[in-house]
Parts: sequence; structure tokens; C-alpha cells
Amino acid sequence: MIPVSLFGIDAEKCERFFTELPSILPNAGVNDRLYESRLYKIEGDLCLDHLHIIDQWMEVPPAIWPEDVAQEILVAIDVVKYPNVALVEGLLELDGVDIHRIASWLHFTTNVYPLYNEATCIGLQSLGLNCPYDPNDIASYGVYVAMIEGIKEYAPAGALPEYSLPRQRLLELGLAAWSQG
Amino acid sequence: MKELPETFDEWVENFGEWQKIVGFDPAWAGDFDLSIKFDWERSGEVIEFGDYTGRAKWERSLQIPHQNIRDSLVSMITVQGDTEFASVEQQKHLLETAPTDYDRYSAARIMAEEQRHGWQMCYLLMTYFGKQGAREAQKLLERNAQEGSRLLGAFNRPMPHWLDFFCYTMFVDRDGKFQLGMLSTSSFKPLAASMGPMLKEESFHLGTGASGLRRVISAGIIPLDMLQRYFNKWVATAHDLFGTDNSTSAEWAYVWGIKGRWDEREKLANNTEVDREHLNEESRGHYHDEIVAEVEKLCGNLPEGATPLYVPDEKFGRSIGDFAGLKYTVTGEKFAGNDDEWQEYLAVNMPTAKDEEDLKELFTQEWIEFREPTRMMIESGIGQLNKA
Repeated sequence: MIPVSLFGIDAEKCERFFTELPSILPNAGVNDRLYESRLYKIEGDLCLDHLHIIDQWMEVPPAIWPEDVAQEILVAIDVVKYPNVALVEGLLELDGVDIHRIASWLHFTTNVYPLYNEATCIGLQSLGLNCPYDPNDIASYGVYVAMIEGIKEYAPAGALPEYSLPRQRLLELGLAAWSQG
Repeated sequence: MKELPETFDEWVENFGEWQKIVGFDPAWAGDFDLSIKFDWERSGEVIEFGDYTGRAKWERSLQIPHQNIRDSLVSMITVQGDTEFASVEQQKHLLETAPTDYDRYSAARIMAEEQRHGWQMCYLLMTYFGKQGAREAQKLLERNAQEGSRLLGAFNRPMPHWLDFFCYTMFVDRDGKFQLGMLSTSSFKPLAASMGPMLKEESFHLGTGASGLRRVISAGIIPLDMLQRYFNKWVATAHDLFGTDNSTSAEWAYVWGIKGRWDEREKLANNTEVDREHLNEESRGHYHDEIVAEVEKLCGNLPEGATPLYVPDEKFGRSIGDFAGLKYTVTGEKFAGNDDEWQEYLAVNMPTAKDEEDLKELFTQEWIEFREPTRMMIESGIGQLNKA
């Protein structure tokens, strides 16, 4: 059964995407050693150092937060439960923080939230889904998370070949490459 | 334990008893959803191959035209279910000695998923095959790998340590992937529809094996010649799991459309001719090619100048099929020496008592690259990491 989050999807196109995904992935950036090393570098209890490692991977200047703000960020990331995103909405009010950055923090600390990028949104749109790209709107990211989870759930077993990466990462990369191909 | 369950709910009660008997604490499965899952959409509407091609897939056992086809289906579902519960019995004790919390989570999740696969098979038996199915579903809870009474030899083999576990998930679980794939186009729709969700879960098991072995190689503590011997042991076992050569039961299963070839749909689309008399050999060949590629990937992590790891030939170490009990080398040549020389050859190419002894010491070192469990893994409760 097609998950509710994929309401309106072009099922035929989606099957084509699943068929092509294994051949798309090798050239879509799945062999990114830097990404992989960061993925497994986040060890132990969540702390500010983790966010710095992630910021460095994103190539954004490391932010220096006042103690209370840093705590607020850590608590928000710590309490949010996949696939919910509402609890991190408040972080958008911080300087230099947008959905890209929040998604990266969530992705590397939980391994389940997908990274956010425009090309992936376009990939989802090309499958007939209404997935707006707005890096300042938490609701757009919530829709994006739910859709990628839906695609993951709906994917046949053979669509996602063996890579020791989170499936959300495979789909995010695959959809982005699909949108450009 | 109630003797013969009449409903699936009664069987579930007996399953709880089985968990107690084998010592699997349900809390280790955390928030894992032990439920029945089907992918009806991709299970196909019409029979895809064999003599009944083009007719509607069977959705109930009464639609199956002959009793021998029903019997064959019951047997296939039973064997699949048997392997699922057996692997839990083989692996359960490893949770106590997990090298890291990450590995404890992985093993606990694999065991939870294997149990779900067993549930799924028992659901089919209980729902579609009347008393015959109920008897088989019950027997799945009564045979035991520790007692050596599981149906397939590989699933009665002891798995004393984690190196065996990683080789097992890499090589033996991969056989499972092939078996599930071949059933995914079955003419019996509930069986075909069961395979998609099972296959998706199975891929985590394979990933655990591949990444575990990669971490073992990166740590550099386990000698590579020893690692190779464990590869040889489990690959030979996995080759056996594809069954006998020239199998008539595989041929009948194909004729009836209940079990296809690996990648059957692609082969049908490409008009790849079917060799009905050598179906097991063909799927074993695909499996062999896949593990060769996987081991080549692992070799990418070897230190410079190290002897590459390899996959032994399909003829080596076999207990089933045309090469059962015959002396073939790991490269597939007939062994030329006498019995004593063969024993010496095996001591170099298969795990020895000394290897088992040496491993005890090696396991006290940092023998596997560390990996931290993610927060989600801890929160899932799978493996009870926060209490371990």
C-alpha cells in the first residue's frame, strides 16, 4: 500500500525511479569518505563538539553560542523524535541557522533525519509530490522528512543496494541525482 | 505450550513459550514491531512462469490446483520459517559478549527481525493451510538448533563467537536474501507478498556482516589467514544451502510457479532461457558471483601488500550436491594427495581447534574497530543498551 505521505505520487514514475536507483547511486556521491567518517565520528552523549564537527562538514563557520543558547540547541536536538520536526522550529530564530543546518545536525546525530537539499525536493516533485523547497520553513522540512520516509517504506527490496549508509541518505542522494538526470 | 494451536493467536502464545525456552528476553527487541507485513502491490496478479503462466495467482489454498503443490508450498514455507527461528537459537548467547553496544544493537535487531520472519511464515501456515499448516507451525517452535534438530545442517552449527557471527551474516544470511528473492515471484500470492518486507529487513543483516568484517580488517588484530579460514568455512556452508544439483524438487517448484529463478522478472523480460534441470546450480552461481564482488570490496580495506582475501571455489568443502565429501581445493582443482595430506590441507584452509583457542586471546584485544550506537539505536530499546 502506498503510504499516506506519498498521496498523489505518480506510481509508475516512482517504480521507474526504484528500478533506476541502483544504477544512479554509484555516481550520486555514495562513496563520500568524508561524509562517512563524520557519520561515525559523532560518539557519546550529544555535545557542542558534535555540532562543530557537523558545521565543519557543512563548511559553515563554527558558531559561538552563549551558554544558554547552546543548551537550548542541544536540548531541542536531544528531545526531538523522528519523524517529528516541530520541536526544533525554535532554532530557526537563531542567526545563521536554517533548515539545511538543522537537518544536518539531526542527520548526523540520529542518522535517520535526511539532509535537506533543493535538488532532492525537485526529485520528489518530479514524482508528482507536492514538496516545496523553503530553507526557512520547518513545515516544508517536515513534509520532506515524511515523504522520504514514505519512499523508504514503499521502496521494493532491490531498490536500495547495500551501502553501509542510512537509507535516508541513499534516497536523498538518489532523488537529487534523478532530478538532474 | 498448547499442543496444536487452532488460531494464530494461540500460536503466538506458544511463541512466547518458545522465547522463554530459548532464553530470548522479549525486552531485547525494544520497540521493534513484531507484526505481519505484506507488499501486495508488487506480488503480481498473474502467475509469472511455469506451466500455469498467465493464470491468476492463488490467494487461498483451495485455489491451488493439486495437493502436491500445496504440500510443496507447506514444505517451502516450513523450511524458511525453520531457518529464521534456528538463527535466533544459534545467536542469542552472543548478546552477552558483544564487542560494542553498536554490535549488541545490531545482533538484537537481527534476532528480532528473524523472529518476525518466522512469525510471517507461521502466519501463512496457520492462515492458509489448515491443520497441516498448524502442525508445521507448531513444529517450528519445537525443533531446536542447540539440539541439532533444525531442518538444514547450517542452522544446527554452533556459533560460538562474533567472528562466526559476522561471517554468518555476510555469507549465510546472503543465501537467505537469494531464497527470499526467488520466492518473491511465487504463484502463491501471500507468499510472494511476504517477501518484499522480509528482504528489506534482510539487507540490514547483510550490511551488519559486511561492515563488521570491514571493521575487523581495519582493526588489524585478527590474522588475515585465520579470517580466510572462517570465510572458507561459512562460504562452503552457504554454497550447500542452495541444495542439490540436478534438483527435481527445484524443477517442480519452477513448473508450478511457486519458486522462480534469482531475478526472475528481469530474466523473463530479457527472454533468458530457463534451464529447469539446473536451477539450484544457477542460483548458487549468482550467489557466488555476488560474494566474490563483496569480498573484493572488503579487500579495499586491507593494508598495503597484504594477500587478498578470496571466496573459495563452489566445489570446496561441500556436504551437499555432486561435490559432497569430495576433495577439491579452495581454487577448485581436484586434490591430488592422500588422506593425511588432505587433513593437512584442511588444517591450513579451515578453522582449527588452535584458531578457536587463539581467538579467545585475540578477543581480549581491540579486535574490531569501535563504533558508537546512535541515539536512535539506544532509544529504540533494542538490545537494552542503556541497561547492558
